[in-house]
Parts: sequence; C-alpha cells; structure tokens
Amino acid sequence: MKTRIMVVIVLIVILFVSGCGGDTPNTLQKNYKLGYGSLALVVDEQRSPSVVYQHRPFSLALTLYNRAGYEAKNVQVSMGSYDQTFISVPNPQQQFSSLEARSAFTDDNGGRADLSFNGETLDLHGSEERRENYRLYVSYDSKMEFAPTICVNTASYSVFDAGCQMPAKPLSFSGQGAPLAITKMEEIVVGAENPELELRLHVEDKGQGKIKSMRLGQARLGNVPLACSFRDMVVNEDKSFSFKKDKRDGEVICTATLSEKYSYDTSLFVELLYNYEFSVARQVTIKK
Amino acid sequence: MAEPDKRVVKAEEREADAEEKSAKASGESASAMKGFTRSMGDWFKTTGAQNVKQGAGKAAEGVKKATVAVGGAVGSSAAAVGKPMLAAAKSSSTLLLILGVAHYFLRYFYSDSSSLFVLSFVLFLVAGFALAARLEKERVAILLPMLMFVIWYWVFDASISMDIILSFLIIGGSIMLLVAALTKGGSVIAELAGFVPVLFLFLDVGLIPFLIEKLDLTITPLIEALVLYMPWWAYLGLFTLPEHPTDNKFLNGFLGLLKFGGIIWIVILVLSVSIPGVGYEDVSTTKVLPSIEQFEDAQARVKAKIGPGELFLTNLKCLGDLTDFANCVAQGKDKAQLEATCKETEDVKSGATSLDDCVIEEQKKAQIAKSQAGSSVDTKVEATTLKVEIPQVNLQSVAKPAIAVNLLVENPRQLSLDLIVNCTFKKDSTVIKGEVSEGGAAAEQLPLKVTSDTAQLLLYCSPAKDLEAKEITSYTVVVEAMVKGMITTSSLRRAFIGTVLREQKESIVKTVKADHFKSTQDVESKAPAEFARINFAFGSPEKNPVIASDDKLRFSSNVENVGGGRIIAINSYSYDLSERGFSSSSANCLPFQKKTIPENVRTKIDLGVCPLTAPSDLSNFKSDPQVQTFFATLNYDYAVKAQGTVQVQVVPVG
Repeated sequence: MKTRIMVVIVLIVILFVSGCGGDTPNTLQKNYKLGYGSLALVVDEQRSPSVVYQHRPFSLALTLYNRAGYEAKNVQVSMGSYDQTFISVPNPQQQFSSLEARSAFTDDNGGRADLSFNGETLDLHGSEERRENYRLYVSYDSKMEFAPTICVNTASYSVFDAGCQMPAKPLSFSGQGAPLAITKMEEIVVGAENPELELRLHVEDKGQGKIKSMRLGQARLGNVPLACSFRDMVVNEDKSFSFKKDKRDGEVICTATLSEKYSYDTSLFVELLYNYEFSVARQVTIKK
Repeated sequence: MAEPDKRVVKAEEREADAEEKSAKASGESASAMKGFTRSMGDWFKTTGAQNVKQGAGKAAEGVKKATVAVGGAVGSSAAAVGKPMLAAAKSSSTLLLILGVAHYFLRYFYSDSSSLFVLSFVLFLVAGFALAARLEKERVAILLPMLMFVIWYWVFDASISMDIILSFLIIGGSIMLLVAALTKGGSVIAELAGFVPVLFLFLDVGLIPFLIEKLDLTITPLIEALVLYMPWWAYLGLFTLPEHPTDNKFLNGFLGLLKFGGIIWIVILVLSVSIPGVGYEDVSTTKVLPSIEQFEDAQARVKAKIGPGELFLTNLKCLGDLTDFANCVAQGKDKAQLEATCKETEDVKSGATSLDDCVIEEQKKAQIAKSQAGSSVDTKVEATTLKVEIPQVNLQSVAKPAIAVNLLVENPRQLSLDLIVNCTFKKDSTVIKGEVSEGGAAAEQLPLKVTSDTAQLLLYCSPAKDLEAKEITSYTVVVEAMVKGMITTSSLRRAFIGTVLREQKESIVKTVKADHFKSTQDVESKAPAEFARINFAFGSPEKNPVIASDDKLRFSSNVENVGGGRIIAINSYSYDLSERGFSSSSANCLPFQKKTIPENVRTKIDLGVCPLTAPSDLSNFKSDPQVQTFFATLNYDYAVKAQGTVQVQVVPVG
C-alpha cells in the first residue's frame, strides 16, 4: 500500500513538475545560433485532406519555417515521387528567394512561408481505392558560423606566462544554429621556430536531411586569415565538398602561422556555406 | 487490534479455499477464465491482507512496533501468499496459453485486425498479470513499464523526436528509479518483468516483419518460418506456468517437452538471425514506429509472400536440413503449389498423366517462366468470376433427362459479359451432345448476356438424343460455360529518376523503393484475380522498377491462365506504352500478334521479349523522381467447366 501511494505521489509530482514551464527567456538576450535548427515543413492537415475522391481537386497546404539561426536562400519546395497516373499537379515546384532566420523579431519557429500545391485526382482505372505515397522535397542554401574565443599558445614549453592555457583535449560544441555543425575542435601547434597553429574542426550533419554541398566562406583567427582544407570528403564538380557515401561527418583543417611567442585569447571565425535538402514522405488515399 | 486479526484469518481462509478451487480450475481449460478471475481477486485480497496487518500494527504499537509487525506480517504471510500466487500464476498462465493459441489460429483464419488487436491487448494485460503473479514482492511495479509504453505509444504517438524521447526517458527512468529506491530495490525485478509483455505485444503484432520492410532487411525463409508462425502469447503462457503446473505427471512432462521445443525454436531463431543488407532511409520523419495497422499490413504482406498455411509443415520438414534450409523451403513451396495445380488438371483427374509426371512437367515450365514477367493479384480491383454448379441428381427414368445446372456470375465491374453454355453426356468413350436451355428453347450452344453485378442463372442440360439405358447406367455430364471477349487489365508501376549524379543515385533509388516498391508484388504487374491476365514488365532488367536515364530497357510479357479453366482464344492485347512515348526496335513486340493457344498450355503463354526505349520526358530530366503506372489490356475467350454424374434407367412407358 505504502509503495502504491508513493508511486501515485511520485507520478503526480512529476506531472506537476513537467507541466510547469520555466520562465520565458529574454528573447533579446537569446542566442539563436545554437543547436541544430533547420528548415521545417509543417502540413496544415485541415486544408490537406488525407482522403480524396476520384476526379476531385487535390490540395496540400504547408508552412515552411526557418528554425535555423541563419537566413535561407534559394529555397525550393517541390512535390514529387507521386504517381502521375492518379494525381495531377500542374505546378509541383515553388521557390522563395529567401526565408528569414530565427531571431528576436520572429517567433520560436523563425521566418515562415506559406505555400500550397493544388491539382486533381485522376481516374483510378477500376480500383476501388488507392493509397498513394508522395514526397515533399525541400532544398535551400544557407550558412553556419563558428565563432568561439580560443586560447593560442605557441610557446615550446608549458611556461606560465599569466596568459591562458590551450586545451589539451578536443573541445566539444553543441551546434551553431544550423544542421551543419562543428561539433569538435582540436588545437595543435606544429613546429618550434615558426610555429603553426592547426585547428582540426570536426564537421557533422546533425539535421534530418542531407548536405548536398559545402564550401568555405570566411576563416579568420583574430585578423589573421586561416588557410582551410576539407579532409575525408568528396570534391564535387563545382569544387564544393560533400560528405563521403554513407557518412555524415568530416574534417576541416585550418592553419595559421603565428608570430607571437606568448599565450593569448583571440576570436576564431569560420563560416561554412552549404546547400541542404530533405524530404518528407506523405500519403493520400484516393477513393472511387 | 482484535478486529484486524479476525479479518486476516478470514482472508487466509478464503485464500486457502481459493487455492484449492484455483488448482482445480487450472487443470481444466474450460474453467481457466473462472480461475483467472478468482485468482485476480485472491491477488488483490492478499495485498489487502498485508495492508490490514500493516495498519493494525501501526495503530496498536506505534511506529517502531509497526515496523516489526510489518516485517512479521510479510514473513508469516509469505507462505500463505506463495500458494495463492502459484494458483494465480497457474490459472493466468493457462488462460494466456489457451487464449494465445486461440489468438494464433484466429490471426491466420480471421483477418479483422481491429478485433485481433483488442485480443492482443487483452493478452498483453493477462501476460502482465501472469508475470506479476509469479513474483514474490512489489508486483504492482510490473505495471510501470507497461503503462509507460502505452502512454508513449498512444499518447505520444510513438514519437522518436529527440525532445520527447529524452523527456520521456528521463521522467520514466526517474519514476522507475524512485520506485526502486523507495522499495529498496524490491521492485527492480517487477519493473524489468514489465518489459516482457511489451516485447511480446510487439512480436505478436508484427514487429519483425515490419522491420524487415522498414529497414529493407533481406528475410531468409528460415526466419520467415520461425518468426511469423510463432504463437508468441501461447509460448509466454507456457513459460510462465509453474514448474509442476498439474498433478498429472504425463501432462507435466508434455508441457515440459513443449517448453523445450519452444526454447529450441527460439535458439534456432537467435542463431539464424544473419540477415544481410541492412539499409536505412536517408530521410527520417518524426514518427518512425508504425501504427498497429501498419504492423498488421506488414505481417500480412510478408505472409502473403511465402504463401498459405500448408507451408508451415513444409518448413518444419526442412528444419532437418538447416544447412540448406532456404533452398529446401523454396523447393518445398514450389512443389506444393505445383502439386495443387496438377491435382486440378483433367489429365491427372482422368489418370492420363500421373501426378509426379505432371509435377516434373510443370517444374520445367516454371523454370522457363521464372525468367518471364511475373504478376500479382490486384486486390483493389474487384474480380469477375464464373462458376458452374451441377447439383446432385437422383436416378433418372426418362431417355432425355433434364439436368439442373446453376451458373453463378459475379460481375462487380458490371461488364457486358457474353456467355455461351454447352453440355455433353459421356459414357466411356461415347460422347453424346447435349442441349442447354434457360427454361425456353434449348440449343447446343446457348448464348447468354450478363450485365448486372451478380447473376444466378438456372439452366437445364438434356441429351440431344435419347439415352439408351435399360439397366442403371452412369453418365458423366460435362457443362462448359465460355465467356467471350473478356477484358482483364493489368497495371505496372515504374519510377523514373532521370539524370542523377552517380553518388546520389543509390540513396534516391533506396528512397523510391521504400516509398513505392516495398514488396515483390509492387514490382510486378498486377491484375484482378480472374480467369487470365497479361503480365508485363520493363526495366533494366525487367524486375528493376527504378529507371535512370542511362538504363537500357528490356520489355517482356506473357499471358497467364489463373482461373483453373481454359483460355480458348486471345482476341487481342495492347499496352499503353506507345501512347506514352515508348518505342521498341522490334516491330513485333508491342503490337498485337495473333497467337494459337496450344491445347496443353496450362499456365503461361509467352508474348515475347524486346528492347524498349523510354521517351525523353521520362529519361532526360533533372528533377524529383517521376512515378507512373502503365496498363495492358487482354481481350480473350475463357471457358470454365463442371462435371457431374447422372444415373439413368429408362423405364418404358406403358
């Protein structure tokens, strides 16, 4: 009896605790360039019936949200992989030049764009009903920025100079507000006379889709430009890079020759531009 | 103090009484439900008795003494509790065993998935009770994982969104840990046991077939046989039975043997899980776990792939040859199907050909047919059926007896069916032509027209000339109904992916296959389950349903007789490929070519193989995949036959 009462009490307490939300964060202080936010497609189920009758209009109403911390450009949404024998959609592609990033000026879903696909269902050729699968494809261009403050120490030996200490182990990061994220960074100093700082950035696709291509935008350490190269990746025809087959991660190696012989904190800025695509599977039942 | 003690004594008396009754009940399957209900009552009564003791201790002797009392109560009631629990375990396990067997057979002979799911859910609860009854303490905790699963699956819609999963795992895990801490670890076993009914619920409703389809695993026949034909709930009932469930040694031994068999079965299952080719979809949606309907659908599709119940025995025979199990099952399956086909043929029925010879002949044909386009039944299109029935007739005493014949027509597509019916009387090698009438004028070939969705035509067949039968003579009456100009349309789905980069092709193909070609049936042409059909396929090769711009296409087709009757003539056939812009370098491939139907053809008539060229709008494009369904129409004459025996003894008039 005691146990059961305790179980009930614990359940009620947890229900209350989980039901209580925290304070609404101050949106002006909120950093939107955190996490793995991406574009998200939300179907308006009320205006997109899942059962449609033969020779009747077919409609699909959607809202595209930009939950990433960066603006999305060249956004293309298309309806595809549907059986054209039973569904006709005259205009299966829609484009938006840009979609606003999630910021203090948008709600938590970020910038939004409403769109719809309209068409009609065709003859079922004698079938009583058919369940037709189709996909909504989304592709867009965007970027991610990696801008931590790091400690650089080119001294040959670990001498205490009242500056900072370079991390001995790789540092972990939890996303920069985009599906493409730098999740680990390792700092290595090579050479003694003319020391070179090597930053090994582990890049991962943490989204639900696929990075089609990526390229380097800017890379600076303070004011010093970094020379970066993509490793363990595939070079595309247009000189952009993508992850190897069945892989969702790779390395970007950035180097800089340093003249200072003491340790100091400085800002790192690495910008990666990428093209991303994902799709959502849907089903419609067509009845006679 | 005295009052609670009396109640405890009464409760224990009732327990002892219940134990006796429950033990009897468990021995008899018919009264298992009664025993289960009673045992449930006992279970809660026992818990109540413990609580009464706890309460009494607290009231009379304060907190310290109460602790001692509780300890004593638990200790002293352990023996008393043990026996009713054994009885409860026995009756609930017996009930689970019986309902599990019933559920297993219902699943295979009754396909209402919603009712079956309700039964599955009941079994889920009974399994929880059966397991709880076997535990010594903190039995209520078994409900925690079961309840959590139910909440996650139905309230949270089985979402695997990281936020929900994390929140759920943290909350659920915390509750379980807290309960475990509060009970000083006593509830851990019960909490873990709660996952067993959850696992069995999923196994029962088809988790494994779903994973096979969802994850695109290549299922081996061994796995098919071991997993799909496993009466999961019944085995759980069997394994939760106490060590000596009955007083009958023979029955106990038999149940032990069944348990041993179950263990062997599961060991084989575990050892043989060497399923290659795991693949995941590139794009995941929020909900990956299926609804129960999806589970049932998946299970039905996989079962359909391996055929009906008799394969179970074939597969069991092959367990003796585990080194080549897959081959053994495949061969057994083919042979069983061919034997069934041969038994229906006239040659085998009349003894002109032996069953073995027929099977060998059919095997040769099947080898040839394997390279041809296949087919599957389009369940979405209602089939036309034609059946001839000759009711049993008594001894006839006239020279021209009229034999009643029923012609049953199902015409759900409301086609205009032209039928011709004829009949003959046979005695040894003598064949006497018959005349058919619909109550009016009789004719050797009676034409009929059916346009309604169902029709039952009452006909009469009489010999055209007098039968000579002074003694009682048996005649075989053969009635043949032919449907002329029957049209059956087949459909074939193909996906075109256009010009894609080599490195993207694999993932695009995988996604398209997951969306549109989950099973072999989706790859083949489909037609309603009626008389004959045209099978056709194209691709690179024909059975590859996804076509890229640089693929060289091959087309093949055949006409298949599936109705158990005879294809009299192929009047015409056509494909809508030409009007969709497809072409072939072979002039004789796509257009209709008149075919002579050989007398001995029982299954397939080959229509040819040729190269095919896709139109540019389906090959040279750069956009999302395009999916299209193509149609082929077969116009043919088809005859179905029935025969009966009539005994005649002509009695001279006057």
